[in-house]
Amino acid sequence: MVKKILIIEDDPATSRLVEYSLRHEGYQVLSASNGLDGIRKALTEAPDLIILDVMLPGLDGFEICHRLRSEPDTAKLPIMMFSAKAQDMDRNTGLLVGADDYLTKPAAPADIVSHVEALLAKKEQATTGQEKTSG
Amino acid sequence: MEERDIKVLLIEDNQDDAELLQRKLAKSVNVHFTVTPAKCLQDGLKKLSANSHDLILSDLGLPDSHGLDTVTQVLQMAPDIPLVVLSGYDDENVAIKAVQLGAQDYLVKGQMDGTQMERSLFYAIERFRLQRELEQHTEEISKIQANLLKILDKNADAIIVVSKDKQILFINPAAESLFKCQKKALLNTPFKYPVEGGKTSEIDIKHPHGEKTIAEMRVVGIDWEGTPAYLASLRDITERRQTEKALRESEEKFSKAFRSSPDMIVITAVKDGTFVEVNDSFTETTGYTRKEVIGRRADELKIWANKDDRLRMIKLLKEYGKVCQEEYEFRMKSGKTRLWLFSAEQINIGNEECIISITIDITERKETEEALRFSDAAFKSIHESVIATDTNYAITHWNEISEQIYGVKASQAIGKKLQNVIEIVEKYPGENQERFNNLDSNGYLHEEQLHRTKHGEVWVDVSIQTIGGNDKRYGWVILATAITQRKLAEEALKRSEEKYRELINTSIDGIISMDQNMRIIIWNQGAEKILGYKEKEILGKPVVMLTPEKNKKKAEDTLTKLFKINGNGDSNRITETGLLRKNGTVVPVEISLSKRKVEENYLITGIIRDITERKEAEEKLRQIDKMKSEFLSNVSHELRTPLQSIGGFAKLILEGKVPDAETQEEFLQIIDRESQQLGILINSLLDMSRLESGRFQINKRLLPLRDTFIDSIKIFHSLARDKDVSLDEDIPEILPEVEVDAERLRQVIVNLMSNAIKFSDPGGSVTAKLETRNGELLFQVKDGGIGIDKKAMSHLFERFYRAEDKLARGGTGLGLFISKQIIEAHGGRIWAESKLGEGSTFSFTLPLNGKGGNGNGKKDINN
Repeated sequence: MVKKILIIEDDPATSRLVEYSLRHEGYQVLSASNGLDGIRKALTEAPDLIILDVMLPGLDGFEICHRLRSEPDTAKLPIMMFSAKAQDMDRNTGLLVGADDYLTKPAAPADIVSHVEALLAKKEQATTGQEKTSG
Repeated sequence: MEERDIKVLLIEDNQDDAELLQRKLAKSVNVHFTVTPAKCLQDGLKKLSANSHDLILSDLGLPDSHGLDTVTQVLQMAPDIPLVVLSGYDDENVAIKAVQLGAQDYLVKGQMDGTQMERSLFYAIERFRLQRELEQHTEEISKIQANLLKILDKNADAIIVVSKDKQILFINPAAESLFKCQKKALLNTPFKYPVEGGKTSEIDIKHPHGEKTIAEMRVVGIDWEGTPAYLASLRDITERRQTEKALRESEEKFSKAFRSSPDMIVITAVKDGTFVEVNDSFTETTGYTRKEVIGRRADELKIWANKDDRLRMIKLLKEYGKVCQEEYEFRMKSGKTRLWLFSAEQINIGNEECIISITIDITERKETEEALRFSDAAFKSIHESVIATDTNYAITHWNEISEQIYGVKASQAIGKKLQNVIEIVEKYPGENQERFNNLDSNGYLHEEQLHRTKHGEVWVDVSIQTIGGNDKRYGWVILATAITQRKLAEEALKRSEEKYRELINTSIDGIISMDQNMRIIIWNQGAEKILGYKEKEILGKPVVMLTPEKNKKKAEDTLTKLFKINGNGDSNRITETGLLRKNGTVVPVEISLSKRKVEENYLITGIIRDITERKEAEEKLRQIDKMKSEFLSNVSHELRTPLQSIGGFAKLILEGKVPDAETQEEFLQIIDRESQQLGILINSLLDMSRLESGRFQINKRLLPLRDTFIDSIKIFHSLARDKDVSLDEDIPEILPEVEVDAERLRQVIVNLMSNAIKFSDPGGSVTAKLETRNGELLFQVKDGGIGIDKKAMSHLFERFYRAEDKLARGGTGLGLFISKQIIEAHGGRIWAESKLGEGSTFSFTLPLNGKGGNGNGKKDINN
């Protein structure tokens, strides 16, 4: 099944890069340039993974992540934070608000792709595991 | 009639008469007459002197004298012999005259017979003799009388003769002066005082002007001029009485003094020491009664403890006339011996040589003196002046310190009266009298005094106490400590206190002290300035009224804990807190607390500094810090973001993942754009660095402006397209040449354009317009973006300022700041107008004449 990735990023160049890189690997990519739009799309489009920038206008990435985690539909959704903010504090905050991964810019497109794949695989296993046990 | 021989001198010139007479006389039986005849007066007188005759019989008529002359001459010549005259004829007148003159009798010749003549002569002699006797008696009587009168007159005693019925019959001059009255006033007046014969009495004579005379009156009964009367002799005894009174009084005084003298007074006989008189003090001290002692000898009673002492004493007495303060031991009735100080002089009582001695029992005093002498060594080590005096304030001890303090050597002080060595300076007249009165009644005095000697003045802390006790004072001991130093120190302290008071008051910091009840007792002007309360309205109030409600408990706890610590201490901390001003506002302060003991109590003092300014500065710094760290964070982000695109797209292309040429073109353009963006950012950072170090410079050159603007705006077309924002430009064809730094100008244009697009939403529009207006070039960039709120407007062009809080769309906050520096360096102005939700317009001007600005942007970048 083709995985749908939602990228919430306000810099068009970065958005374009990630979108192209993932599309090239066969993913379907949606984008939103601000947090609110991002949440809306997350709820309506049911993506399999969200790439979330931190420095967004209005609500920042951490806040978005927290909200997504509060919504039952998106509570378990794999979220990868992707940011130029590279300090430990930022990374920790990301994990605190429930992000599954934190990638710092600049990242090579190949790295972006591999992190996405890894996160999706993990999610697969978890779901399978659950299904297995609940089976 | 006895047988007598009478010698008669007959002076008769007539022979016959003579013979006749002689025969007649010879016939006389009883008396034998021896007649001596004389013929004339001279003859008769001659014969008179030759013999003694008993009678002269003389004829009046003589050859050498006639009649009465004869009488006179004979009487003259023989006054002691009776004369009988003979007369020849019966002429009585002459005869009478003769008798009147002094003849005894006369006889008429021829008229008498012998017997008659005999009788007449005889009686003439008798008569003469009697007369003579009478005369003598009378003389004697008048002599006696005269003497008596003299006695009476000259008598010092007043003599008055008073009749039985009390009339004054006689008074003498002394009586006159006694009664102060003239004789004639008194004579025959009644005598006012009772008289009784044989009695002596005292009368008080009252004189007219009130004086009184006391007189002693002796009365005897006499016969006065035949009648019984009284003779009173009076003596003025007023003086005597007064003297007696004075003497009696002085005797009483003496007796009292003698009796009650606290000193023992004894009178003894020199020769054997017999007690003549002793006073009460003696009997009390020795235990003997007067009876036991008077009349007894000293050695009988064994009163002298050492037998030889008495003899030694007598020797001294004889040598010097007196004994002065010798110490001897005496034995009391009980047998105990005591030491007495003995002084004596010789006196005569009656005919007896006696000694009057005055002694004082000094047994205790001696012991005290011994003790004192013992502690003389201690005296020396005492750092106080120690002076001892006797009860009369005569100095007996004067230690080394006294010598130092008063500058008077012991040898010069001892023996002198204290008042003569040290003058105690009075604050007001009469103070010293009061002091001594107090001393006498209390036996104790302690105060600070100023003492003056001839060497100067010294303040001393003086304590005077009696030596002795139990009602017996032996003297005084005076302890004095020189406190001139202390006094000077006190003065200095007072002055320095004033200095400190000044210091406290003028200190800018607040100085607040509180007592153990946490009430404010010190509040300086600094505290008033900081907190608004005036000293008088806050003193005594609880200090916690200055703490805001939420801090009250903590403040109380801190203070209580500090008070509890033993001794002095500091809270070891400078605490920042807020205090309540009088007007209710809270002022941030720095407090340091310390606890000190002042006089008897503990105080906590807080020094308070108003740190409002500091807090504001800190806040500003914090903000700047925050901005700086945000800036750094943003710089990091701003650097990484383009790098992401540049690296990412380059990698995709290089990895051959972009087969499509159009996409490749798109990606390369992005790379180009982002590189430029990166370049701009890096340049901004460098510019900031230069601005901060004052190395920022613009280089103006005369340029055609149009190209600069067009080129700058050009690069934003693709970005605008990407963001779906429309971009319009309105640049006139013809533009004047202006001196500009093209590079920098480009920087500004790019900054404004970039912001406009950044803050526009998709579907928005951005317009860039350039025109000439009022001798200026005006460039405006208008966007329909989110707008800028009013609060942000004032800070737009500040360093690090970013219009949106919290991670806005990138941006370092440097752009507008640097743009402002650049425009102003050109002499232009830059500003913004905005409405929230509608959009903003950023404008700048450039002067066309190229004037203005400073060429290097070196302004106070902290503005």
